[in-house]
Amino acid sequence: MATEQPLDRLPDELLLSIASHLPPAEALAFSLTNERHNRIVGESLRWRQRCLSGWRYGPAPNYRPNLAAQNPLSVSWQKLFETRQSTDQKAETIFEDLLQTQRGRIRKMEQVGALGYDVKDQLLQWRDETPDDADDVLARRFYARAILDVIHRTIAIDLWARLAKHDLKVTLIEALGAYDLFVLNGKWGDLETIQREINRIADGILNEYGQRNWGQIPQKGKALIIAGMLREKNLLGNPDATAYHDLRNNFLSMALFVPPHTSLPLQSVAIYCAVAQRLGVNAQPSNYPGHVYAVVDCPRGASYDPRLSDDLNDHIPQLSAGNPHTSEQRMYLDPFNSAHEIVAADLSRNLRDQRVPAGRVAALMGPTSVAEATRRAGRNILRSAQSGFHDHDEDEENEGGEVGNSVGGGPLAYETATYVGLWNAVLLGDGQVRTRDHALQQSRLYLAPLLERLLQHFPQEICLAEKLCATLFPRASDGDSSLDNSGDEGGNQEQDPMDPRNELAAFREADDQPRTPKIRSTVAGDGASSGLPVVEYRVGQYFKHRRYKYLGVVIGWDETCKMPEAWIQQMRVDELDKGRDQPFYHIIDTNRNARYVAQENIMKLARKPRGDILTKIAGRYFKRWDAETQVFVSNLKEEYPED
Amino acid sequence: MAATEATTIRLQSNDNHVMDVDKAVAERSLLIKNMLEDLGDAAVSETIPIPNVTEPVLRKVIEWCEHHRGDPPATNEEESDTRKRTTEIEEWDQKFMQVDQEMLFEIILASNYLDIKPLLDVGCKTVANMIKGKSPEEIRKTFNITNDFTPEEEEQIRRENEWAEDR
Repeated sequence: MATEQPLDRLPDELLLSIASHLPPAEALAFSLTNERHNRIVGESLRWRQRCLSGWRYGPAPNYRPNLAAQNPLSVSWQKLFETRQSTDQKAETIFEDLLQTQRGRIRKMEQVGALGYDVKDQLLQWRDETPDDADDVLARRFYARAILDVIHRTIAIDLWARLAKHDLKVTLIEALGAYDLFVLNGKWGDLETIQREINRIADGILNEYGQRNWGQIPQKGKALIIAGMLREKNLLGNPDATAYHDLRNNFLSMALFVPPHTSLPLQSVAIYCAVAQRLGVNAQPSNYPGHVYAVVDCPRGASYDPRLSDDLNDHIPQLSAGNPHTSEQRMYLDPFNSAHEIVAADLSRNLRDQRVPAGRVAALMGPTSVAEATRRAGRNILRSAQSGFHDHDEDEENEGGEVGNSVGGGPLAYETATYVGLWNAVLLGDGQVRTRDHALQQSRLYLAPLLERLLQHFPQEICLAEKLCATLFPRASDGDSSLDNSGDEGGNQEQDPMDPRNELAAFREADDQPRTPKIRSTVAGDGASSGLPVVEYRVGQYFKHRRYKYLGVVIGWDETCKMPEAWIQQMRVDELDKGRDQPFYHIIDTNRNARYVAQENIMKLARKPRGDILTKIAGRYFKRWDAETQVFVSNLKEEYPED
Repeated sequence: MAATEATTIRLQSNDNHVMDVDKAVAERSLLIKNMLEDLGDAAVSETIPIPNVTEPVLRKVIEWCEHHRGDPPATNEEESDTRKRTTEIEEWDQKFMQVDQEMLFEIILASNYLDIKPLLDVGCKTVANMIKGKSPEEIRKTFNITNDFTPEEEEQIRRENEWAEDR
């Protein structure tokens, strides 16, 4: 017998090419055949394994599940691993540096954020797995969370900006899922995860019927079956009418992944339509006022099929009872409320009853656009945010209720919801405008409150604001702007007085400067002889406001009130017992509002704070809570070196 | 059009057989194509030696090139990416690859040497399909591979690689 081994004649790279056509288990079997195959193919498989077990996320095209689905050796895993490792190291160096010093934090957070999904794994680890007793536990978790927000919000805003430019490739699931991305801080809401869940559900339905049987069911039957099955799985609707406006109902991932899976009609219908579309049914959310229906357009002639077996026809609820052999092309469903068909005539009669002009009826009865559905979602979120605020008494130390927790925590989640609503309003407007100038005007209306929030709470998102301003206030010098400037006023548009970009640049610049230290001995007395006011509390002091009862933490101080005269008059500072010449404190309250409080109103609290203040606010200023001294350990050492 | 003039070139296998081939067909081989470009018109009148390939294999390779002479050039990255993800082989190529192992590996080596990517790909997929669904022992039998692991080594490697079952 010849001892010739034909594979031995192939060079290493050809062996690897052959193995690159094999799924993992079979590539492994091949690598186990002899020492050489193990060395060449096995090694590559082991790099792959290192990549897949080490990281969940990667940039969109290399997102882990996509990578894993490919044949194992069609990717250079070793190179991928090494690139990824060096990215992680780069992120870690910058991150450690930004924890150390106040100077340039915005720039550094942007730098880490620019690495995108490549560093998501690491940021999640810092956010979720930093041990409680770490020296800078609060800061580490806070900044990891904030950078995750930058990464997710960049994606969300980009999607909406594309919608605003009428990019038809943005799907409804992406446009609505972007709200999850924006608000949920990466625990839920990855667009890929949402889409995969939709696919999984659709494939489950298909499996239940079998590919062949499913193909035989007429469109209308499919539409009803899908509604029935999704409702059976509790994925649509909300049985609790009192919780209709709960914030969580605005998010697709809450509906898909988090019990009790409730949602608003829009999200229910979006899920329904996405599943239906994957199963070959052309379903879209309706444009109907007040409630969202699903509009299903059936191909001509598709209807109840008497040739189907009785068994299959049994699975098609309502069809024969409704309008058999109908020639109607369009059907309506209300998947939020039921699995049955809605009679179109009822819907149009309702519109007439509401005195909708006849000319508008057709449009309102038709499907809506992705952009309009996105606006609707934005309005819903703002509404939930407004109704949610009343649920939280400022006096209460909040723990972030169950609802709050699942969407990211108490009143802050509602605040974030307001923020996302403003972004949406600026980017997409109200959909009513006709001209570009009008649209710009409308966007600018929301710009001021948006920027105010951004600079106060999310300064690391300043790059998003800059990008936005470049579209709202096109300058002739913005070479990359796709807007057509030629027809406008021409050259004198160089600096629109409304354009806040100079202010943004100044804000950025200031963050990059060294802080001026405040030394107690030079401005404040020690209580004995100097006659200077005594600054009693230090940065990190937890307290309750004597008069207004809210809770807060000291994040800075002045030896006397340093506000402008107008503010002093307006706030009637002189009516305080000790007037304006007592120390004043910069504080942040448990709802993340910045305030300026007189020393006489500070009632020191000697207990560990709970809820958002601890998990979501303090980390921006402090390293950790110190149980012994009952204060936060300052991370503002450059400004207040002695505190 | 001038391009239709059927220029032929002359190839010589390593066992000294000479064959005339349409230039357009021979140029499916990037090696030959580049060589012709370098030599210019002079090449047309000369015999081009293919020192690594025997006559039967060269004939087989040219048969493939003849059949695929009209294929669009698959140069872009995306295409090569999708190609890698599947082991599907078009029917004609499947028939074409129904040869003994000796010839199969000769074709792979020749297409690698002559730089005919699509043919190399078909060859690699054919081998991959012969591996699919087999245990290591069955693969060894198929390709006459000598197991040079000690039983201990084999066990250890198997253990290290247990992950591969789930993906």
